[in-house]
Amino acid sequence: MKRSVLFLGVLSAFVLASCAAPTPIVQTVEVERVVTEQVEVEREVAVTPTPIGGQLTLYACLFDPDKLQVLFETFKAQYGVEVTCLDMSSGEALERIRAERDNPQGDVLFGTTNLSHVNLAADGLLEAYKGAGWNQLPDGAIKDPDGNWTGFYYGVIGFACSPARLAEINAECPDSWQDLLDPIYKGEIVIASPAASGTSYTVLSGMVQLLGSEDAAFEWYHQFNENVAQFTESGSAPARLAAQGEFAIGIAFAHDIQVQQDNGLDVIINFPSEGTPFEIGGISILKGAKDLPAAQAWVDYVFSTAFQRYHNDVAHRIPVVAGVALAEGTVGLDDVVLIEGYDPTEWAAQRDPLIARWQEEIGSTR
Amino acid sequence: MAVTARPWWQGVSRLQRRRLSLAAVVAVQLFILLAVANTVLSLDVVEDRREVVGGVETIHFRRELVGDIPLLVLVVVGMALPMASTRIRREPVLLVAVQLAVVGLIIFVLWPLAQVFLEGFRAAQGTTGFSLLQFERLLASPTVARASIHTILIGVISAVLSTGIGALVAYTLTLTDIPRKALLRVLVVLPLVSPPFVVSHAFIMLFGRRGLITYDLLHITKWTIYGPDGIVLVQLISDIPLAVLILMAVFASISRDLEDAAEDLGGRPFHVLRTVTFPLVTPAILTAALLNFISSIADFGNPMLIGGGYQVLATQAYIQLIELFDLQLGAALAMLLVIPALIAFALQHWITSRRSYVTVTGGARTGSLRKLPLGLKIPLFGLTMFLAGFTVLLYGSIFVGALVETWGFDFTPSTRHLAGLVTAVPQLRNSLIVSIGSGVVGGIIGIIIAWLVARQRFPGRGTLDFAATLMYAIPGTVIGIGYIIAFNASPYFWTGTFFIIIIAYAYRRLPVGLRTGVAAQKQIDPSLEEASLDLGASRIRTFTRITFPLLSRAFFAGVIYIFIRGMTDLSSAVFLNAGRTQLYTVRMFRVIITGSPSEAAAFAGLLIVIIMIALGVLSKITGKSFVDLFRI
Repeated sequence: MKRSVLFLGVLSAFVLASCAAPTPIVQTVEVERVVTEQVEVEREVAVTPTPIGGQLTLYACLFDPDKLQVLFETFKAQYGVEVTCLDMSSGEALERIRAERDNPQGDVLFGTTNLSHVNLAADGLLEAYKGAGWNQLPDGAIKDPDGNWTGFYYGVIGFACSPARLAEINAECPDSWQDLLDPIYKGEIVIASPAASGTSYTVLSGMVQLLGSEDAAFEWYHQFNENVAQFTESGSAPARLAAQGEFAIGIAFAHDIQVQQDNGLDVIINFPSEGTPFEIGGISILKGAKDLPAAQAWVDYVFSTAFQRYHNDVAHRIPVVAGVALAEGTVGLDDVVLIEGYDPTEWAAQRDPLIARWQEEIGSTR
Repeated sequence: MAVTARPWWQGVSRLQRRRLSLAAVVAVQLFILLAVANTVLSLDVVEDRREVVGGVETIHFRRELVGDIPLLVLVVVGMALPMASTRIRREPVLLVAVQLAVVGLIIFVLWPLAQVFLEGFRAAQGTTGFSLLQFERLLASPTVARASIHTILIGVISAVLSTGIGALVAYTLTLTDIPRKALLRVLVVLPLVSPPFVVSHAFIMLFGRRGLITYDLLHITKWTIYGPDGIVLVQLISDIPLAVLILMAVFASISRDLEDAAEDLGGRPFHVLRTVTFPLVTPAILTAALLNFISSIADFGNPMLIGGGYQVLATQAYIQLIELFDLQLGAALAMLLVIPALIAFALQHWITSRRSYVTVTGGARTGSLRKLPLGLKIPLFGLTMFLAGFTVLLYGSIFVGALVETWGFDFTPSTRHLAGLVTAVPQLRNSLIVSIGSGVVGGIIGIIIAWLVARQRFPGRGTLDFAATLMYAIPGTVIGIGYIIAFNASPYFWTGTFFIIIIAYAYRRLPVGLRTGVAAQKQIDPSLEEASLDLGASRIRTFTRITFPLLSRAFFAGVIYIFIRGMTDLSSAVFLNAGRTQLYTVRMFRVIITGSPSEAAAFAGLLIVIIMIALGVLSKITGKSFVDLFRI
C-alpha cells in the first residue's frame, strides 16, 4: 500500500512538472550593427577572389552534385570556402527551409525555379543581396526587385523527337505548336500532367500567354489532347520516353532532352516557331545563414563567366550573363523564340485556377 | 574458510534487496523520463524582435522552451500505465521492459502517425486549428476520387492474383515430386532481393514499345505495357515470392491425416486439394494477401514508371509532398491510404480468429510428398517453370543491359556503366549502414517484445501486441511523411541523420520480427525457462542464457528480412532521403527516370549482387540454405 502511494507520488510529480507551462525568459541583448546605406556600385563580371574561409551549405543542388564538383573545388581554391551541396527536390528544400526557420542549417538555396524563391521571400525567409549578378541583369522577370533572389539560368521548352519512331509512322519532327495537332501524331506524344509537374504547367501557361486567352489555349489543348498518349507524372519522363524511342514526341525542357543526348540516345530537339515558354532558376541567400560573407561570395561566383559556361556545359541550362560562350551543340537563347511577355513569376500565381480548369476539362476525361 | 564464492547480493538481507531494487527502478524511471524530455524538449534562443533606432539595430532574444509537450505527456502516461498493475510492479525487469517497449512504440509509431492525422486536418503551413480544407480539396478533386478507386482496384487484383498463384506454386514446391525443386525455389524467390521498381524497368526494356521482345522479336504494335495491366503484371512478379515463402512454410507443416481421410472417403485428388488442403492454409493465405495488398497500394515506383498516367494514391501523395511541396494535402492523401489498409487488416484478423486451423498435434505426419495425377501435376509444374523462367528472363535482361553500351540502340559490350557506378558508392554505403543498423535494432526490439507478448502475462499485453503489429497496416508512404512531420523541425532536426532512418525502418518492419519471435517462442517449451527460474536464475539471466540462444534462428531471420527490405525500400526512403544521407534506392530511381536504360540497369545489377553476397555470407554463417534464410 505504502509503495503504491510512493510510486503514484513520484509519478504525479513528473506529470505536474511536465505540464507546467514554460515561462519565456526575456533576455535583452544589445547587438550593435550599423546600418549603412546601399550604394550602387558597378561591378565587373569577373570578381576578384579574396580568401575568406568558412563553410557553406547549399540546398537543392539540382540532381547531379557530382557534375558540379569541379565548380566547388575551384571555388574552394579561390575563396577557401568548403562547400557542401545537398541534393534535394524543390519541394523538400521548401519544406526544410520552412521547418528550420528558427535554426537554419543551410546558407543558400541554389537552384529550383524562381517560384520557390518568390514564396520564401513572401514568408520573409530570405536575406536580400544585390550583388554583381543582380546589378548586371535587367529589370523584369529575371530578378526580384528587392534583391531577395536572382535568376541564374533559363530553361526553355522543346520538342524531343525520336527519329526511329518518326520514321516508322512516316512523319517529321514538328516545329510549331500548331504542328502538334496533326492527326499523324495520334498516340505518339507524351507530356507531363500540369497538375503534377512544373514543366507541364509552364507549357499550359505559355499557351495561354501565346494565344491571348484561356479559352483559346484550352481549345488548342483539347485538340492536342487527342494526340497525347500519356500524361506522365514525372516532368522529365517525356524526354526519356522519346529518347528511348517509346514514343515519337516528348515535350520537356531542352536541358532534360540534351541530358538524354549525352546518354548516347538518339533524339533531336525542335523548338516551336511561334514561341516557347521558359523557366528561370533562381539563387538566394537564406535569412539567418551562418556564414553570410561566404554565401555572398558564392552568389557572386555563380554569375561569373567561368561558372555560367561550365554550368551550361554539364547541366545544359542557358546562362543569364551576357557574352558567355555556349558549349558546342547546346541550345542558347538565340536558338529559340521566347513567348513575348511571358513572366514565369506572374503565371505561378495563377496556378491553382488554371490547373483546376485543366483537371475538369481534360484531366478527368482520360 | 570455504572457498565457494557467493554472489554479492546473497549477503544482503531480503528487505535491503527489496529497497535496492526499488531504488534502482526509480532511478531507471527518472533516467528514461529525462532522456525523453531532453530529446523532446529544448531550450532555444529565439529572436524576439528587432529595433532600429538611428543607425543602431538592436536584436532582442528570449529563451523559450520549445518542443512537443503532448508527446512528453503521452510518454509519461505510457510509463505510468504498466505501473497500475501489481503483477508488473512486482518484477522490476518486467516493468522496465514493458515501459521501454511502450515508450518506443509511442515515440516512433503512434506519434508520427498522429502527426499525419493532425497535419491533414490543418488548413495550411503554420496555421493552427482544425480545418477540413484539405479533405474538401480532396473530395472536390476528380483526380483523387479516381486515384482512390484505381488504388483499391489494383490492390485487390494484385493481392488476389499474387496470393492465388503463390499458393499454387508454394504447394508445388513443397508437396509434389517435381524435379529440380531446390533450383526452382531459389529462382521463384529471387525477386525479393531487388526493389520492386526494378521489375518495371526490366519490363520496359523487354516489353516496352521498343522492348526487345515486343518490338524486335514479335513486332507487337497494338498493345502496350503502359497502364493498369502493366502495373498489375509488375506487382505480381514482385509479390508472388512473398506469398510463396509464407505458404511454403505452412504447407510443409500441415498434417497429412486430414487429406488421407478425405481420400479414403472417396474424394478425388482435385477435390481434396480444393476442399481440404487449401482451406487449411487460409490464415497464411490471408496474411499473404494482406501483405501484398498493402504493398500494392503503397507502391509508387511502379505506377510512376509503367503506369502511363494511370493515377494512384501513392503517386499523388509523393507528388504533393515532394514535387509540389504541399505537406497538408500530402498528409491528407496519406490518411486516405491508411483506410483501406486498416480495413484489410481488420478483415484478416476477424476471419482468422473465427475458426481453428490447427492440424499439427502430437505424432502428425507433415511434409511428405503427395502423389498427384499427371493431369494436376503437369499444369502445376508448368506454372512453376514459367514463373521461374520469366524471373530469369527479367533479371537476365538487367545484367545484360548493364553490360552493353545502350540497351535498345547499341548492344556492343561495354563496361562504361559499371565504371559509372563509382559515383554511387556513398549512397550504397549509406544504404548498407542503414539496413544493417535497422536489421539489428529491429531484430532486438522484436525479440524483446516477442518475449513480453508470448511469455509474460500482464494486462495490456494484447494492446502492446496490436500496437506493434499496427505497422503492418501502414503503407511506407505514410510512415515516411509521418516521420518528416514529426521529427523534421525543432527540437529534433533528425532529417538527414542515420538515426532516424534506422529507427524508421526498424519499427516499420517490427511486425515481422515480432511474429517470427512469437512463433519461435511458442515452440519452446515453457518448462525450460521455468526450470531456470526455479533454480534461482534471474529473469535476465534466463533470457540471455536460455531463451535467446533458442530464439537465435528467429532473430537472424528477422535481421535478414529487415536488412533486405531496408536495401530495397523506396516508398518511405524517398521521404527520408535527405542531404547527407542519400540512399541508394532513391538515387537508382532517379537514374531510371533521367538516365539511359543501361545506366539504370547497372545500378539495379549492383544492388542485386550486393544483396546476394550478403545473403550468401549469412547462409554460410548460419548454415542454412538460401531459401531457408527467409523462413518466417
